[in-house]
Amino acid sequence: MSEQLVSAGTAATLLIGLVIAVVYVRYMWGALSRAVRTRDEVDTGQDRYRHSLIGALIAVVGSALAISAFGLGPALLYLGPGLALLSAVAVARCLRTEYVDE
Amino acid sequence: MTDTTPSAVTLTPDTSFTPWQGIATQVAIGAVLLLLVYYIKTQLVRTTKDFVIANRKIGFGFGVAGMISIWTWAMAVMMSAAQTYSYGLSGLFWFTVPNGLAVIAVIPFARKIRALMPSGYTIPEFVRERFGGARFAVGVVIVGALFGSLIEIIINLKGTALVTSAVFGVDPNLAAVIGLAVVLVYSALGGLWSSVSTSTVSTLLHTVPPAVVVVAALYKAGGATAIWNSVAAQGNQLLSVTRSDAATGFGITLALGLITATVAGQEYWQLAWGLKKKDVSRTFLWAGAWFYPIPICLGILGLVGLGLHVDLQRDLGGDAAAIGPYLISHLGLPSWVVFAYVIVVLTACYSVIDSAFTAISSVFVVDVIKPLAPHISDRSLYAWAKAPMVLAAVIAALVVLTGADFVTIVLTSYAIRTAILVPLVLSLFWSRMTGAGFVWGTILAIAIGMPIRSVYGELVGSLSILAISAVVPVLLGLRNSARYDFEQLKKLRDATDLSAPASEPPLPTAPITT
Repeated sequence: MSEQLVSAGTAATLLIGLVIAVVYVRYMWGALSRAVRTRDEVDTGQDRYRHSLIGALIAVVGSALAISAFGLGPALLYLGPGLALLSAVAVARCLRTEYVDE
Repeated sequence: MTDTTPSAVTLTPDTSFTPWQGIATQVAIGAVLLLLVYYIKTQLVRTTKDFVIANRKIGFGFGVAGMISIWTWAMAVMMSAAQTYSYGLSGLFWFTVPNGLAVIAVIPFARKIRALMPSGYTIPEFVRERFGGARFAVGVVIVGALFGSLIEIIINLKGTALVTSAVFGVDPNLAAVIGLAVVLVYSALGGLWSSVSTSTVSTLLHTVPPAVVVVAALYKAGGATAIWNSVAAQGNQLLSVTRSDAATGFGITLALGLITATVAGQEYWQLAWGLKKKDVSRTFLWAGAWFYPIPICLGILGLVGLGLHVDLQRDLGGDAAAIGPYLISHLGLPSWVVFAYVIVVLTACYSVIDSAFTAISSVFVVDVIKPLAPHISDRSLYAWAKAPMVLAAVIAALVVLTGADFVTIVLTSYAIRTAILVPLVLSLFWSRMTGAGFVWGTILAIAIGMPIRSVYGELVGSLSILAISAVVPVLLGLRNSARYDFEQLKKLRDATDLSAPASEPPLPTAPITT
């Protein structure tokens, strides 16, 4: 393994991260283009999201469990980088929602 | 992956970096963001309303990404590792869990304020309308909002200076001024749209690079197994989340401070008003939930510091916040990993500073200029909207360059934000809440609570301020038989909408109705 790539794990994380970054930027551009297209449209929607409480519980308990999991074994330390990549995927999905699902 | 024992790992400073590389990194990040903002400016920003509140057209994706980045201070990047290094996993737990919760906690307030006052912009504007122009209350809230934003700028400038001076040896003052200039240029170009769009790029940089940096750091530190075993061998419940000293040492106070920062923070109210109506609740929920992985990931650097027995005094100069930059610049990582870490910290600083600039601009436009010059043209208002950004930048630069002790600004900002939290919540949800209750609750909480804080410490002080600011308005409200009609807030004219017909209902002059 090249000194520059540090380790196989680093190289794999970098590769996955680059793929996520490309998708993220693509979706961001899509959302931005839609924002430009719909700039003068009237906002007629209503805030109806009904999963706030259960969603909040899942998020808070999930984060607490993830941190607790670090104490269960060394391999679980890699959960942190995994979740960080998942966070980018989730935000990319939110960006995609802006122009695909609506 | 081969594990070696941490004891075989030698931590040596990387001296290959030069100050010019640090300055070039700062400017390069700014140049990339400026290109994006220029496009935004030409396509989306034409009026003051676009500039200040993004024409209330921020969608779900930009809202979530923008909010994650705005909430990811340099503190979240560096303090997650610092608290893990100081208290083990209990430190990471108490730093991280309240952080995301603070964003999610805004949901009921954001939903309520958006429904009650759809044309709003700022917290002082809400207080003015709710209490019929109560000047003192509005003044206190304006000072709290401006000082709060100014503090965010100064603290994150310090973060910029810390990381570039630690890694590249850049003069901290020069680093702060360059960072300030870079953010000022692109913020003044696009306002809230520029803040949200650049923050969306920053969120990508707060998630993918930390994953790579942490995996590389674990390997260079001897591997996850070696680090984990070394920390486990130190005992002291470092791998448990149940250490009570983390909660009492900083956790509970931090949780209160974080909730105050979001629920009473102009940056978050502004976003609540800038989002499309249907996206308000889910944006705050998703932002809080997907913010969590950032400190969870970067907190692992604190475990690496513990595993390698980094000494707080000898290696970090007594400042646990330096654990991340120290490890990254001493583990023998390739240059691109070091640059990746620096970019994470710098973009965290930049995104908070640009949102603070936008918040200051909103307050200035809506609560200072408009009341003084109600017939000002949109062209003039748009031009004036940038003036407070420049003024805030000058003040922040002076504070940083002169080395002035900004403890007074911090304390003032802290006191006002904590003292107005409960009165603000009561103003939103309780129809018997009075202007006198808001004013006296805030004044007495500061006047009595701050001395208590200086004598008995942060936790007792914060709880005292909250208790006083709750009891006073409740007592005065219970004596008030009148009920406020919240429907009046819906009649509020959009402060930057100069096309509204003259026949539109005037602002209410008698806000307390029976």
